[in-house]
Amino acid sequence: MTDVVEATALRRTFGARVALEGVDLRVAQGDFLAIMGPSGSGKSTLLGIIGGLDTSYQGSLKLFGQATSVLSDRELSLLRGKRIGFVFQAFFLLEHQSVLDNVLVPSLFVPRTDAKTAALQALDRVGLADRAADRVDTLSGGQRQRVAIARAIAHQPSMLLCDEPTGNLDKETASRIVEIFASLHREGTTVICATHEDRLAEVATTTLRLSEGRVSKEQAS
Amino acid sequence: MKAASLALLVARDLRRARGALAAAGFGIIAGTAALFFFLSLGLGVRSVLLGSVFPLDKIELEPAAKADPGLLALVLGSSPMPGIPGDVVDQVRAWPELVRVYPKLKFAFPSTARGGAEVFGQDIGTSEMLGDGVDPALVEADVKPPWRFEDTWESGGPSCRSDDACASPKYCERASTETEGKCVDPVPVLVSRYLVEIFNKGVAPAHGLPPVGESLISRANGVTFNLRLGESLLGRAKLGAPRTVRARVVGVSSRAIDLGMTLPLPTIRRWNKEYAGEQAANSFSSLLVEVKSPGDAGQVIARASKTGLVPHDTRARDVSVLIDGILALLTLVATVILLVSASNIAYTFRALLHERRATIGLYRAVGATRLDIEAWVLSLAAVVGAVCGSIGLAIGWMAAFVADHVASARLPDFPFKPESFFAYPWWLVCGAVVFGALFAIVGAIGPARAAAKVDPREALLQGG
Repeated sequence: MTDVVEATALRRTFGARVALEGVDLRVAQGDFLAIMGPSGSGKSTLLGIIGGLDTSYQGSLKLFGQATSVLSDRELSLLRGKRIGFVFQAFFLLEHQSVLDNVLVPSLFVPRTDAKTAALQALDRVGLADRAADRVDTLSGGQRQRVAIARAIAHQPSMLLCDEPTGNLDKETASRIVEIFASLHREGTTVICATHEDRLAEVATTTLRLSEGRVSKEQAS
Repeated sequence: MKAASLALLVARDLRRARGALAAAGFGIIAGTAALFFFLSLGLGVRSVLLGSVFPLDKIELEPAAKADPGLLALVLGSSPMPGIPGDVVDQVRAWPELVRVYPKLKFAFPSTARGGAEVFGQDIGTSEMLGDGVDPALVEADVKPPWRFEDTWESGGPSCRSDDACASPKYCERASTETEGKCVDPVPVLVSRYLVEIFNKGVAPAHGLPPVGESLISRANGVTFNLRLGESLLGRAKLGAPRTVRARVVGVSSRAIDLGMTLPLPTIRRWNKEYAGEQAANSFSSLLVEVKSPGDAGQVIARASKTGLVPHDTRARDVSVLIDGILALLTLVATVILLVSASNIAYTFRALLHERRATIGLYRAVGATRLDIEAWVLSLAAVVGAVCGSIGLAIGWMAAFVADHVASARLPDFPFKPESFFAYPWWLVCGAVVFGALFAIVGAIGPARAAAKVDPREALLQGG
């Protein structure tokens, strides 16, 4: 199967602090990778590099077979906008906009002809089609995260990157979010989640454990 | 990013941050209003001064002062009039900065005038009358039909010895050296707007006379008066014998001599020859040159100096320099206001974008390029600037309207008092809005670049 992510000897430092050291990683199309580890172990840093948000690293990284180091800002932005979806712990929704407008944000920068239809389908997928016209500041935490997921999947990305997606949610709501990720994975989307959530690790096909910036254990489920 | 997406982003930000943006744009409003008010005032005053009072598109050149014997010597005919020979006129005509050259010839003999009973109810007169002759082509647009501005001697006839032999309004014009003359129409005369203004606003009220103006010309028979040639209060001409001719005002012209009257050039030539000799008839006293643009005036004056000619009146140039200086000063004040407002925009945008770092991070995560972020911030600034510029324009326009109204109601009537002190050329109206947008963009360049450089990973990490 094609490797979606192929990272070799990744190293990232912030001043004198080493956040990642010698990380090798291969993620195949359709994999569900859970990145686990204590706070400060380098999970979010690794996700930022894999997502093309952080380019100040050492080592090599290929996304979808392309070496990211040779891509221009425009090419890397286009890659993110077309093939990668992001879900964050803090949702990052535009508070004064409607649910639908939030899901449509990526289409402002990478236009699609069927953006609205795709956004409504994504909302239907996360069970919020009936709230499309509501402002996001009227939603609960779980609903907000579902809007963020809809925003991340509306353009049908090949890879979904999630950074502690259930971190701000209660158990019941978190379970529902986990189920959405599992379902997306079953349909062929590559999912990489940085998480503390054991339930997410349970549905993942591979678990990568980081400790002080190094891979301490990689285990297939 | 498509223009429609950019417009949508900007519209959302205008709604969301309207309070902060309005505060940031206040300086733009004040600066644009000041710029529009000052410039429209300067242009309006300049238009009146240089269009009506001191026209700058035409310069009158005359022999240098050292060759000028002075008015008294000319009036008394005790000194030969300094003239511009025909070959110098041809030389001046070849200057590339000029559109046309109109030779002028002054009275080289003393004269007086008396008449005007048709308008004033009584004859009024002067004990000294100055006059000059101009090429009829120069003033043909200022002569109201049916009158014509030409030497009436050429079309005169039949022969006569006294006025009794001629049908009114014709009279018998006979040179002092001749025994026989011709029945001719009164000599056409043009007066200046300046003279009419001075008469209406100064002389008429002092003597209880009615003001004249354009109505003077529209009277069926014009205003006629008698000109006494060859003598005045100050003395007599060296040659010829004093005699009286009849004249008729046929128009008001900005090209007429300021204080005195303007006649056809051939008429003055005849009279100068009769009372001051051949030389006074064949050379010219000055040249009115029409420049291609007011900016060429300096070059023309420099060329004239090399030819032994100087400008008759430098007031236009002085006024132009003065107005340009004042305009530059006022524009500087408005520009400083706009620069301060640009720094205000910079400060506000920096704060606004700092507050929205997470949003910028999100935009970058979902596909926005650095250029998209920069375009977004600069477009927002341009819209804020254009809107504030438009508001400033409206305020400046209203202020100008109020100032005009107050000036009209409160200021006493004075010569050349304009209906409006302001001018609103299209480029100034558009320029005010464009300047508003431009200065806002200038202010937002720094914040836009900083926003484009935001590290999305860090912004999202901190935003969480």
